[in-house]
Amino acid sequence: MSARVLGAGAGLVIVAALIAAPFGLKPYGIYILTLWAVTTIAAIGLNLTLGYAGQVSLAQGAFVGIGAYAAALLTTHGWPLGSAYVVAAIACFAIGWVLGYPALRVQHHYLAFVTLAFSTLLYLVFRNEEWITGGIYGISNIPRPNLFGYLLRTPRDFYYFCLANLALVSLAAWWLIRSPWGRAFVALRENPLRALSLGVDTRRYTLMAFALGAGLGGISGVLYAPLVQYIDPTPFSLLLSLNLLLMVIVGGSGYFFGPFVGAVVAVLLPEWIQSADKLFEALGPVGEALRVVLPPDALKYVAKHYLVVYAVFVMVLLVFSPSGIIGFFEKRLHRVAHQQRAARTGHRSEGGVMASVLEVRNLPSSSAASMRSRAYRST
Amino acid sequence: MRLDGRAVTGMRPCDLNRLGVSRTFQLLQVFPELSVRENLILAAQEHKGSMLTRLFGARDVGLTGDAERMIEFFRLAHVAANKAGALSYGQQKLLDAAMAFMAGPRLVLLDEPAGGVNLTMLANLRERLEAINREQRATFVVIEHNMEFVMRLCSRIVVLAGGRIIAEGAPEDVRRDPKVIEAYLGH
Repeated sequence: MSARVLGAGAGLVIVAALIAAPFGLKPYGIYILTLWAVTTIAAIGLNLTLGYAGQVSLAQGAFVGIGAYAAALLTTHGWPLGSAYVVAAIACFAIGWVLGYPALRVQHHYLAFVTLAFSTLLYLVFRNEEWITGGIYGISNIPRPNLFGYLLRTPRDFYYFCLANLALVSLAAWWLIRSPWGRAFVALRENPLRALSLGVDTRRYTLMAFALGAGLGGISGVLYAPLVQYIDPTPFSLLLSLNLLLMVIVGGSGYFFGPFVGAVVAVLLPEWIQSADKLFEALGPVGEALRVVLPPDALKYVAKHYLVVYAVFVMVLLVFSPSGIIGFFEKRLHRVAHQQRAARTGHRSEGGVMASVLEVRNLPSSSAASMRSRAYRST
Repeated sequence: MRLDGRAVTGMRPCDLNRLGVSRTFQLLQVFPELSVRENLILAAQEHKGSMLTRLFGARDVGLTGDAERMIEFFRLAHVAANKAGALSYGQQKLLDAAMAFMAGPRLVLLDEPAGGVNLTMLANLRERLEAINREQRATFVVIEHNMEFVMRLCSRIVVLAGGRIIAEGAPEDVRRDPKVIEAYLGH
């Protein structure tokens, strides 16, 4: 079975699972899943900035905040959520452009500093400008959106709405990556010097990627506000920006599905670990069997210290696969594809090492043992 | 520095490229993750339309055809769908050259095109360069150490040694110039 068919099949299973999920979950579970969908949108935006244009942005959380406050202010004053999309997208895109324009004319990491400063600035604005943002008291009673007269009140309804948003954003991102712009992004990521010599305005494309990424952050915020129905400055600090950065890198920077996987790790994994002991209950007889093998208090310990477990997991993952989870699987698939190709063309090979091709003896400076060079399989 | 009387000193490479100057690189610079075809389309896409039309308008108009012609011309048809990083060194050299010609430049700078290329491939490369020079009628400026390659490809040669011009002229004259013989041919 070809990799494509397998991939498409897996994709369909996942989509089906996402659609069926809310029927087996309590409201809190549906809330977490919705949070995953909303966060993925912000991560997709950051992936464009970091993964495709290679720029570190520490302000994605701030852009989410702009979107959230825009939605909160507009909807609590009777405007439809649709207006918030427009305001947030335009505002974040424009701010991204204004921030990036001077920053990208200078050296490499300048944008990181500018976005760091902006993130801090915006947090202070959220906190202190009480007359508009409500300061530390925040904005409450944010209504759920109204879709052609149907109020998306229940967790399940709002979850499907967010899922639909995610689907649209994914399609748009896919279309962008497939366009000449996507080609230019790959070029400026792989070899900016060559890209320049071919007429690719790397500065302009990088700026575009950053501004678009910021816009998507705003859209994510627009969905976040009605999800939690109360916002204050706390969620939109530098911590969110760093978390989003973690998502993109752990998922696989520059891979299309990286943000999706990264958001699972950052949003869902802590929840799963936290309820590790209950997980085995849920698994029924299999869980019982596993519980016999594992020490009884181990799971409770893990669940209580889920943050430590989570942090260790992320660190270990990045040590073993700096290109993230998707990168890890891609390398595996390459190796498998390579093996298949080798098998088809009839190369004799056992376990990745071929028979001795070159033998070097009696090197003057080395020890008495002769050296054998074995042909490596190229990755 | 001037191009057609227009000052181009300090211009960004992408702007210079849009004026019709392109180059190849001494150290191979292709895009390894893109396919051969995509490398070629990329090489010309910035010359068609504006950034906006590249996203919303008719994208890559005619570029697929141009890329196919270039693939045919440089005889890369059998590897056209492969990732550029998977090609052999000689094939990547041909691709590198092909990319420089995709946008129909007026001036092409070839930086050590013969570097690291075996003899058979060298003859092939030289012959293709001559052919595309006749076809596109662009001016070539070639920087090269390989005397035989240069003598057979170029119509006018400038010889530098220690940063100074020591000879200039047609290949036959330069070949016989005693200063050149002393500096390069070692007799």
